[in-house]
Amino acid sequence: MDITTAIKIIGMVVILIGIILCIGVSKTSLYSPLYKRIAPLAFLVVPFFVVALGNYHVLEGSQKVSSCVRCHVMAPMANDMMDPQSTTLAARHYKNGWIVSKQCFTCHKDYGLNGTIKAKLDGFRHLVKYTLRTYEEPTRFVGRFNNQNCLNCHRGTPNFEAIKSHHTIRNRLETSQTNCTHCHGFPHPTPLERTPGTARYDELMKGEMVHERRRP
Amino acid sequence: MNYSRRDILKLIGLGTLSLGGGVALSGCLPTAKSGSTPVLAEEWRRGVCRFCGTGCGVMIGLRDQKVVEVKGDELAHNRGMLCVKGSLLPEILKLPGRLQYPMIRKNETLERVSWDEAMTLVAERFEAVLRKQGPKAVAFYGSGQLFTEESYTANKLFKAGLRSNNVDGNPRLCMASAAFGYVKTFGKDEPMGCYEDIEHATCFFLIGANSYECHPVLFERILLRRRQNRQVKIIVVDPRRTKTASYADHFIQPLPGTDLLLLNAMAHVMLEDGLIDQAFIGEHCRFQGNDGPTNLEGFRLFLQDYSPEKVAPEMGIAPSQIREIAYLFARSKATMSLWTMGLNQRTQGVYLNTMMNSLHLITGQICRPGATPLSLTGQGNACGGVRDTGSLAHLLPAGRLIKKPKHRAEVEKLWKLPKGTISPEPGYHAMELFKAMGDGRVGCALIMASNPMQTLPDLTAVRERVKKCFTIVAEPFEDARTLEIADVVLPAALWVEKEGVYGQTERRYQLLEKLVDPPGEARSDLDILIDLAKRLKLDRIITAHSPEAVWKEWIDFSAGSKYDFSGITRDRLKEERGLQWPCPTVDHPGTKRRFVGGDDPLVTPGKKVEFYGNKDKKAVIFLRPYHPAPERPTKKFPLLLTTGRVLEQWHSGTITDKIKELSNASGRGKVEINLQDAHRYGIKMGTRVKVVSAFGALTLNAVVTDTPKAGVLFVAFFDAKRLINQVVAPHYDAISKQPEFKVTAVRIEKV
Repeated sequence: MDITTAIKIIGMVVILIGIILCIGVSKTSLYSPLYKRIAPLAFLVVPFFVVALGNYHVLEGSQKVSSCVRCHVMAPMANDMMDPQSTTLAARHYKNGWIVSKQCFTCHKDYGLNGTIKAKLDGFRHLVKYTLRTYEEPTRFVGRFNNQNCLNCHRGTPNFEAIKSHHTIRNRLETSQTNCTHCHGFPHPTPLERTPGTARYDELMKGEMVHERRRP
Repeated sequence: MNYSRRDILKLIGLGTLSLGGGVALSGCLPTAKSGSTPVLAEEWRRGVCRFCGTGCGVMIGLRDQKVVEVKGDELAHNRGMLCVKGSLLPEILKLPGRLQYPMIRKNETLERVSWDEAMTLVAERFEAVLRKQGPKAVAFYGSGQLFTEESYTANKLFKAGLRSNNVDGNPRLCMASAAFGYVKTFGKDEPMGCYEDIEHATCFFLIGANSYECHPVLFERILLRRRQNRQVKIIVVDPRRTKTASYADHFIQPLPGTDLLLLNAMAHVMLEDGLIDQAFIGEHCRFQGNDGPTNLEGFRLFLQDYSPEKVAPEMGIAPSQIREIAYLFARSKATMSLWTMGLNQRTQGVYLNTMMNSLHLITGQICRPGATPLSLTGQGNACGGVRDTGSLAHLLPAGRLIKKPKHRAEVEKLWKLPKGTISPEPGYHAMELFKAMGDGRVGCALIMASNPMQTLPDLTAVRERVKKCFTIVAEPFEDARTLEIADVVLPAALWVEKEGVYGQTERRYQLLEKLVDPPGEARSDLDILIDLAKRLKLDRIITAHSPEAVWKEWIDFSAGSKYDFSGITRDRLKEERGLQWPCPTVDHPGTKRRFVGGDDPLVTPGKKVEFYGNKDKKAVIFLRPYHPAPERPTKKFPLLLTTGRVLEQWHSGTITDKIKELSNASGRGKVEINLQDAHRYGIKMGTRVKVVSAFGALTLNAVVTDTPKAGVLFVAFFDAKRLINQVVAPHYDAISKQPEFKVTAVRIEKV
């Protein structure tokens, strides 16, 4: 029995106890001392923890690679990232241990205060599209990738600073007008490789990781 | 003060509202490092980069009929990558100093005139010179930056219409030796390999190529290949420890002008150590010495003089280095050679190119994925526009030669000309042309999309001479140095201000559509040529009057030739991300690897490899003796000057030097001097020095570095205000007529 199953069983037991308690409460007077003691717990403490834990779980959990690859359109990205033969930016950052955890989130975290809302809206839009299957593969990144995701780590490093044009186009880099990925490799497999029906697509979908996650 | 409970509630409410609102609003305001500006483009269109021969596919973002953004095209061969120059493409249409109207030189100054007045004068002068001196006295000097349609039309106008073979251009300074190399070895020009070979190669042999700076997208691709497999080796041969060299597994630093010794010594080791592929040689190759046909034994005897131990001292390297790289070259699973100006801009340029091809032939490192000799090109359309259309003084379209009567007859038939129209005598090549413009042999010349008054060697002498010739210059920018010799200036459209086809290094044709209007009265070079043809009453010959019509004529022309790309129709170019020829039918996917059965449709079915360019279907291995470069270090001129390029600038800098992000990064033209030499001459960082050769002198700031080998100076040629070509010697290859920009004996003086 793994830990998830154990938590599930414990949860069921807690709910069961709760139900029994409720029946007990309903049989006593509403003004009994027991009710007075339980009321703040029921109306304040429990809802607060439920909301807090739920949010924490969603916010933290959605930063994990496993949460990103739940949609199969993301599988090629993750599988490619974990392929030691691949030379995409994602794969190089992964295999060299430049980013040790939350690999998707670390390079796509340009959320900020308003960004979070936008990201959630985007996520919701993606979810709707995914559920209703109103999308086409290969999916494409529209918009502009935020260079700050790269600069957060690379800015100030000797290799970055040694390149003269990094200084002369600094403004363009800071505002993402000139994208880092123009000159520095492909971040992920190109849409051509992610087109269903091609041999490369089948390869990318066959990655170990997705299988592991999907195993019941 | 009395507050009611209601007032307090109101106050709290207002406070909360303003605080909350404030926080929300401040979050919306853009801050200096907000990271991401919104996408400006309303519409994305496909195109090709304006600059080098890599020919990267770009997506061009438009808003209000203006180019606002550019990004790499993920579906093109470059898979979305660009270099810093390509990333700044939207800037080139906003640059100041664009020529807006035609001008005529009156009393030493250029004065604005109407198009009609300018073109009438141009036509009159052409007619006058033709009447007085005949067809040999008019000339066209084009460029690897013109569209294919433009070069094709100019070539036809001059060779068929005016009956003058004086059609040449800056590709003569750039890759004439490579073109001759391919023709000599394989019978037809253009490389057989493709960029995709980079993903299959296990050994890269970069010689005379600073790809990190000059072809960054391709070099990144090479590095990606090595990152994928650390067994992949990169060999770099260069007299300078370039950025490219800093990534090499093996770096060989010979003295400028000695690398034919290296190639011959490598062949010597390969033969001596049994690293050759006898079966491949027997089936697909024959040997040719300077005195006639020979065989493998003859080759072995010839190479006896080139043992590593004999030649290494002259090159300033160790014999063991030669043995090491010869072994890697021959024994790697797939070896890919890449070279540019280091081999081409040499008095032995053709010898070097043929020897480079020969190394691939004797080791069988050819016609397999990853095994190929690939000459990189400097200009976006030198391959497709100039080499394929035959827009050089000795060529006719689709790999034909002027001196061959059969080829002339074929072209006359295809162009529907009376027999004998095309003159049997090749025209003046670039070096001779600018001499002829000085001594009166050429009286009227049209220069298009090129800047010879910055790029020719021995510039001081050339500039003085050519003033006598009536020169018409079509150019987009008003500060190009060539305008100084112009009698008529015609404003030309740039990049997406006109439509046409670009053909890059790997035989890929790509379409660039017109997206914006040119500034002022500027016109496309094709329009100028068609206008000129009409005024010279040659519109019976120049019948195609739009880029589309010229393209149709050109692909029909190519049908049945060894270049056959009749399947690359305009419609397909609009749909697809470029196509590689040969491509004889509209349903053919294009040819990645030429001469390879199953890929190249022109190979006899059933054959694995067939070098069909030559009659006997065999490639030729040449025995090429080394001759020292004419410029040797002497007592008076003890150092060797070599010229080249920098990452942020392209060609003569007419475009890139105006983009401040690029010009600030590259700085001004300067001379790189080795630490040891600097110590010897007492030169420090930033010292003003004069570089003096037998041909001219130039004062520059010195950069003391370990980049060039001791005894070698390096100066990039992009700076229009510091013309290093004033110092460069005018010697050129006897076969390709390409000048040797890479070796000039100089001395250095403090000023």
